[in-house]
Amino acid sequence: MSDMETPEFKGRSGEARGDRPERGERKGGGKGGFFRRRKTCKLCSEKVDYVDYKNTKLLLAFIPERAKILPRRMFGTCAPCQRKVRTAILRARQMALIPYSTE
Amino acid sequence: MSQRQYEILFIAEQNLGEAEVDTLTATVKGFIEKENGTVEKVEKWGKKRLAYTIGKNREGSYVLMVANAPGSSISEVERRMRVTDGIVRFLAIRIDEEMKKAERKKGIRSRKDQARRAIVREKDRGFEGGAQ
Repeated sequence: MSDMETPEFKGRSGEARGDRPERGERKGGGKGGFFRRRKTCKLCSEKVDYVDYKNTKLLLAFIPERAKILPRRMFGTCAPCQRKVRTAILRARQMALIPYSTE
Repeated sequence: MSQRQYEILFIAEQNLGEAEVDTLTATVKGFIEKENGTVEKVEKWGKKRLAYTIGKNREGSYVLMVANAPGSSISEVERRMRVTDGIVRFLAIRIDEEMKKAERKKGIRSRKDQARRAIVREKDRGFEGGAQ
């Protein structure tokens, strides 16, 4: 069914990300036979030009639970942005603004 | 000598009072000025809880400085900060290039935005429907 591949449909099912969709929602043909929601870089779409290490609020979004840096495949950040985030996190950790790890 | 912009953040020990932090800030300022640099901005964040303990410090006073200084001088400033008592940790990074990049990006975006708005206006005037 071709109408299942429309972008609107992708957006709707995008809420349960990483979850395998219902059998009926499977895409005919293509990769893997089930949906992969296209991830977009949050930093690009929110127009963050300079990732500041002092902006802990922003950086904390990238270090859930164990304070480890969220990999790109989970968050969907683009390569340049991920690099910026990485340096910012390393700097913020150095200055004890965000933790290296949680106890 | 070409001046570069640096951002220097340092943490003062927790047992230092506000006046002592001020003198420490003045000392660091002195380091920069001695090396032909100028301090543009000093921002005191006050006492903040550290994310982890450094030595015996559970909290520390943060002081942020923005300075213009020649590139050759920053290593000397860093060295002096390293041997200064009362500074738990510091970070000096160059920010002028990053800021320039950010400015450029902003400029490009606003220009694109204007172009997009112009197209939308044109569409509103009569080009409706799926016309591209």
